Amino acid sequence: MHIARELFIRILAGAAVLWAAASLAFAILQLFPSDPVQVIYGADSSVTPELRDAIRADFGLDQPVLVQYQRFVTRIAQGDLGISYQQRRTVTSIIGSEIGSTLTLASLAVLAAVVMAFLASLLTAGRKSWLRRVLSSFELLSVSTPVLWVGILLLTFFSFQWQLFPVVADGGWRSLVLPVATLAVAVFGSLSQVMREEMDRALEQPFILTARTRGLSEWAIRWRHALGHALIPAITISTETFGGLLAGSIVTEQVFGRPGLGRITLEAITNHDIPVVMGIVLFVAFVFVVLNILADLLYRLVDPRLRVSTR
Amino acid sequence: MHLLTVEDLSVSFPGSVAVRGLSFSVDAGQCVAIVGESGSGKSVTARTLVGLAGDNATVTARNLRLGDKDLRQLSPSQWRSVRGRHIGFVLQDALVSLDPLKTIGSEIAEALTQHVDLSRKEARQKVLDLLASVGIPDPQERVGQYAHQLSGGLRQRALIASAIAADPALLIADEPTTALDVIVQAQVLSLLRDMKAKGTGLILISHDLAVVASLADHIIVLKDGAVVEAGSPDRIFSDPQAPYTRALLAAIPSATTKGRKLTADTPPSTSSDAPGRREDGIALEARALIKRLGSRLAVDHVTLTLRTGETLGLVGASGSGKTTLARLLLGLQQPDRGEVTLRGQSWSGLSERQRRPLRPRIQLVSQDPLGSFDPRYRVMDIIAEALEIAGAPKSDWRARAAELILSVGLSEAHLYRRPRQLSGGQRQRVAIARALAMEPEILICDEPVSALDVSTQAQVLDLLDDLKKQFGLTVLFISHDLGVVHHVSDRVMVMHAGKIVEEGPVDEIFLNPRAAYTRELLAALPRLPTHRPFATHESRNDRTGRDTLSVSA
Repeated sequence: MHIARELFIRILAGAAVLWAAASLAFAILQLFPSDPVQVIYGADSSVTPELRDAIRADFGLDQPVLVQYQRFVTRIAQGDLGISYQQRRTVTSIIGSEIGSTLTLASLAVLAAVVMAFLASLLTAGRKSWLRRVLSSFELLSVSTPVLWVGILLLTFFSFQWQLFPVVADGGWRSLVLPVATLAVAVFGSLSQVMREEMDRALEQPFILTARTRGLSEWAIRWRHALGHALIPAITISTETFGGLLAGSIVTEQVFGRPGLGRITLEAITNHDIPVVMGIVLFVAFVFVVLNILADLLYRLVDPRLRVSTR
Repeated sequence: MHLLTVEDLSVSFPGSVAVRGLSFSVDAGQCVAIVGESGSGKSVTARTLVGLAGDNATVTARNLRLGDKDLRQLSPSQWRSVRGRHIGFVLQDALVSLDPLKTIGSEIAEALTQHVDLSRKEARQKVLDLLASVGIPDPQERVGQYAHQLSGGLRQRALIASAIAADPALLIADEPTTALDVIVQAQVLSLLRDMKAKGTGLILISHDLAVVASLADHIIVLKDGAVVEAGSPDRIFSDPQAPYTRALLAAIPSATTKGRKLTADTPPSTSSDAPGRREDGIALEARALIKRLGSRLAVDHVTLTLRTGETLGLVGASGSGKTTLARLLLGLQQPDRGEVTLRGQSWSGLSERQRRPLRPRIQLVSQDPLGSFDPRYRVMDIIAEALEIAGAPKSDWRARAAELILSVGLSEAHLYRRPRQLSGGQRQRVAIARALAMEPEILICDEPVSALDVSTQAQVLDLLDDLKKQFGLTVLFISHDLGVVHHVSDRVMVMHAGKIVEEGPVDEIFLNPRAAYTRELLAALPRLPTHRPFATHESRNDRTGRDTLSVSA
C-alpha cells in the first residue's frame, strides 16, 4: 500500500520537474533576442513568406503568449516534441531513430563498469594485496584521464596498430567494443573507488565479526554480507552516469563516428535547429526523472531500513 | 576433561601485548566471567578463542583445547567448522552486530546451514524453534523482520539465537547486555542462565562486576592483559585481594556510595564550599507537557520542577520518553501542550531568535559525545566555538580553554587532539568542558555515562559532582541505570511510557517504592551479592588503592 502511494507521489513530483523544464525551455525561446521564426527555422535565410506564415500559424505565434504557453505544454504532455523544419521531420522521430544506438552504448558501458567494479571490490576490499594497489592506481588513472584521450588511445592501438576492431562504426558488434570500453573505463574508476570504500567500511562492522563467528568463509562474508552495503552508492552512481551517458556521449560518439543522441545534439546546436535542441533537453529531463524514480525503488529493494515509511 | 582448557595464553600485536599468561578452564554447565575495563584484553581473549584475533596477532599458549581438539593446530578451514558449530559467539549491541540488510531469520538460518545439512523447510522450522527458545514472541512474524524493526532486547535475543543455532557446547558472550536497559538486561541474563542450566558452557565478558555476579561460577579480573585476581564470586565479592578489584567494586555506583567519591584518585574538589552565585528558588519548571510523536504520546502530562542547586534524577527504560522530555526542556522541540519556564520567564513560548541569547544558561551533555563533535575540529576549536557563542572576547579564548580543560581533569596537550584521538571518558570530559564554557546555570545530562565502562563512569561521575559544587550547577540527570541515579541525585522521577509514575527524595523512592514499575526496575537491577565492608572512605584513600585506576579515562 505504502510503496504504491509513495511511487505515485514520486511520479507527480517527476511530472512537476518536467513541467518546470518545459516552462524554462519555453521562456528561453520567448526571450531569445531574435525573430522566433528565424530561431525555429535556423540560419537558412531562403525561407519563403508562405513557409514563414505556415510556421507562425503552426506555432500560434500570432496568439498571446499565455495561449502559446498553454498549447506548448499541452503538446509536450501528449509526447509531441514539435517539428524540425530544417530536417522536415518530427523531433520525436529524430530522437527515436538515434536513441537506439546511444542506449546500446550507454547500457553496455554501465553494465561493464558495474560488473568490473563489483569484481574489483569483492576481490580487494578489506585487503592490502598487490591487486588492490594495481586496481586503485588504475582507478585513479581512469578518473583523471579525459574520455577523449582514452578513446584516442584505444583507437590508436586496437584499430590502427593491431587492427582488431574497426575504426568507424559499421553496425556490427565489433564496432561497439572500443566505444563501450572507453566509456566503461571512465565509469569504472569512480564506481569502483566508492564501492570498495563502502565495502571496506562494511567489513569493519561488528555484524561481519558475528558472521565470521558463525564459521562463514571469507568469500561468503563478502558475497552475502559486505556486498549489499556497497550497492546503495553503486545504484546512485550507475543510474546517474547512465543518464549522463545518454545525454552526453557526444565526444565518444564523435571519436568513433557513431550515430546517436550526442551527434544529433551537436548538429542541432551548430545548425541552430532549436526544436531539436529543445526536444533533446526535455527528453533528457524525462530520462533523469525516470532514472531517479528507478534508483529510489532500487534503494528500497536493497536496504530494508528505507522501506519504513517516514512518519 | 574440561570443555575448554586455556593454559598460559598470550596474545600480542606489533608493539603491544594484549593478553599475558591467561589460564582457566570451562566445564559444561559452568560460567566463567572475565571482567575488566576497556583495553584490559578481555575482548581480545574472546576473539582469540574463536581464532579471530586478527592477522597481525601473535597467539601463544601452552595448552589451548576444546574438548580433545587442539585449537593451536587448526587450519583456517578447520577453524570455520569450529566457529558456530562448537563455539557460539554473542557480541554486544545487536543493532550493529546483526546485518541491517538481512532478516533475522536468514541470519539465524545462515548459522544453521553452515554446519548442519538441512532442507529449506527443516531449516525454517528450526529457526522458528530457536526464536521461540530464546523467548521471542510471535516467531512466525518476527522471522521475516530486520534488526531495526526489533527492540534492543529482541535483537539481543535474536543474536543469541544465531549463536546457538548449531547447538555449540560453549557460548562466549562479549558484553551481551551493555547496550540494554536494566529490565531487558535482566531478561537476557536470565536467558543465559537457562542455557547454562541446560549444560552449555559459558564465558561471560563484562566491564561490570555486578552484571556477572549472579551468573558466574568463576571470576577472572583482568587488567592490562594480566590476571589481577581470580576466584569464586563469593570470595571475590566478600574478600577482594587485589587493590584493582576493590577499586572496580568501589566504582559501582549505588545507594551505599551516595555522597562519596567512586574513585580514589580524583583530585579533591578545588573549592569545597559552593560559591552560591545563583539566587535560590526554581531554576526550570515544566507544566503539563504533552508531546506526541507519530501515534505515540512520548511525553504525557509531565510536570517537573528543577530547584536551584539540586540534582534531579530522571530514570526510565529506553523508549520511556526521557530524551524527548530533555529536548522539550532544552527548547529543541516544542511541546504540543504545556509550558516550560526558565527562572520564571517564558522559555518554550519564545521564538528561537528570542531563545538563542538565553541558550548558554541551559546546556546539554549527551550520551555519545563523539557524535556531537565535528570530527575535523580539534578540542581547542570545539571549546572556542562555545566560548564565541557565550560572548567571550577572542583574546581570552586560549586562556579560558586551558582553564576549562584543566577543570575537567585533562591537560592542555589535549586541546590539540581531535575527538577520534580521545578515549570515551576523555571525550565525555571534553563535552562537559564545552558545556561549562557557556557558564550555564543548568546542565542537562542525558545518559552521560551509559557508553562508558564502570571505572571510567566512576571518574566522570566524580568529576560531575566536583564541578557541580565548584560552579553551583543545577543538574537534570537522565539515566536508565538506577545505581547511577541513586548515587548522584537528590530527588528522582521515574518515567514510564511518557508519564512520571513516581517522584520524591531518592532514598525514599528507591528504598520504599510505591509504583509497580519502580519496583520492577529495582528488581531488575543487578546487585552485588554482599555488602562491601572494604568500600569505606579510608580504605579507598590508602596508598594501595590510589594508583589502581588510571587518571585519564
